[in-house]
Amino acid sequence: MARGSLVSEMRAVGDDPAAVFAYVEAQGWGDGFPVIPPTEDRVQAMLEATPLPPAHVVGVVEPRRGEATVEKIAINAVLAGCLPAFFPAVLAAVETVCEPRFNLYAINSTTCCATPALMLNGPARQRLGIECGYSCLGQSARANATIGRALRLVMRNVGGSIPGAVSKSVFGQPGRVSLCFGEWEERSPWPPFHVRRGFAADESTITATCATGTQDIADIWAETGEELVWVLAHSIEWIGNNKVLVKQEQGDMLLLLCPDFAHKIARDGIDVPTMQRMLLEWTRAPIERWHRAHWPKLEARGYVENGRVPLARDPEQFLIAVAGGESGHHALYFCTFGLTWTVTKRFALDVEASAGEVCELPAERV
Amino acid sequence: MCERAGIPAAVVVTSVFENLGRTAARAQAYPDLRMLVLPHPMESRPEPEVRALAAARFAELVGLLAESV
Repeated sequence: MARGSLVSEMRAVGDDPAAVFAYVEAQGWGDGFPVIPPTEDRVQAMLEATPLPPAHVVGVVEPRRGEATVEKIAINAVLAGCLPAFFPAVLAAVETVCEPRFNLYAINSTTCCATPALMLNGPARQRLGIECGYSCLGQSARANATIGRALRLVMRNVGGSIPGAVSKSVFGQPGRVSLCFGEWEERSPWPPFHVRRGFAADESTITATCATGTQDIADIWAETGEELVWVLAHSIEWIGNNKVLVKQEQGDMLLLLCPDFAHKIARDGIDVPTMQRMLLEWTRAPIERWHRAHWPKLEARGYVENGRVPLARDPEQFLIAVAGGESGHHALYFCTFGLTWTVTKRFALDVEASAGEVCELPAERV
Repeated sequence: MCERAGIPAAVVVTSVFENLGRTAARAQAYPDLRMLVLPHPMESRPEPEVRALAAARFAELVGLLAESV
């Protein structure tokens, strides 16, 4: 049963998927990849997955300040290839990035390659088939690929973040097509990320953090947790880091540890707050790292403290989560653009409304 | 916000951000927002050059503020 009539203009394109793909690209609505035609039936099926009416405004999307109604988000979710079951997560993603603290205006217009990275926690991961382990950041699962892609299409088609015209990102990045994964809570030695941020373990949440890229950190030498945190700290304080350009008290950054790294650190008695304090201390880079001509500029901005340039001011600016495969040896750092804060919101899955269409993960995957 | 409060306002942008500025102005229902467009980029220019540019374009900025929207 339809939840309401649609107000979007209907266009007659025909059934041929290639013709629809070409049409969407010609209109400037796509991202270069094939799309699922957003027919009225498919959009209505998406709307069945939420109790919200089609006209409900989920968020105002910068920089064009377009109103992201449930209907417009549903159309983009169909285009992106989402199952209706994914729709509550897509709605939550849009709501989350529209929080003023996330500063979507800057992210969608900057010269930097910043993009939202989405992390899911709680039972939604299993219910939607969100990959948390091997290759969770790319080429793993339909939910990861299409939820992130739906958000990007909303930012483009509702928020007006058109490359070149409005978004001045010099390079963009592959994560600007989609960047969505789950925390592998079941393989973490610590409470889940969303529980550490005040949510209940049985709640589903979506976290939007800012990623200028997916910086790999490899290590095969560290035998202790302390050595490993040293490697992590000194791998994230390079001088061309966009975080260094903004005030040190501004912005937070997410570090993903593979389960093996997390267990090695926890085994040696290092909990998350302790690791955050170690990261804060060990990311204070000596000013000699910078060209001598730049020292007065750093000084003038108040960035220098006892001959060092701290990356942050508060340990809690370093966010920690566990994800990735069990083959070990790697962590991954989302270097922040800086002028943005990570935002987490809870959301509910309305399974009845989605007609039971969920894709359960095999038990051994999560 | 200044314009809404009756205080004349003008926005200074560098050239690559002109279109973004226009988009943002339209989104805020100020399509005719006064805008002074400077060359891009600004950050990496030596300070004397930036000061010279400011001196050269200041009168233009004041002129924009004196215009009615």
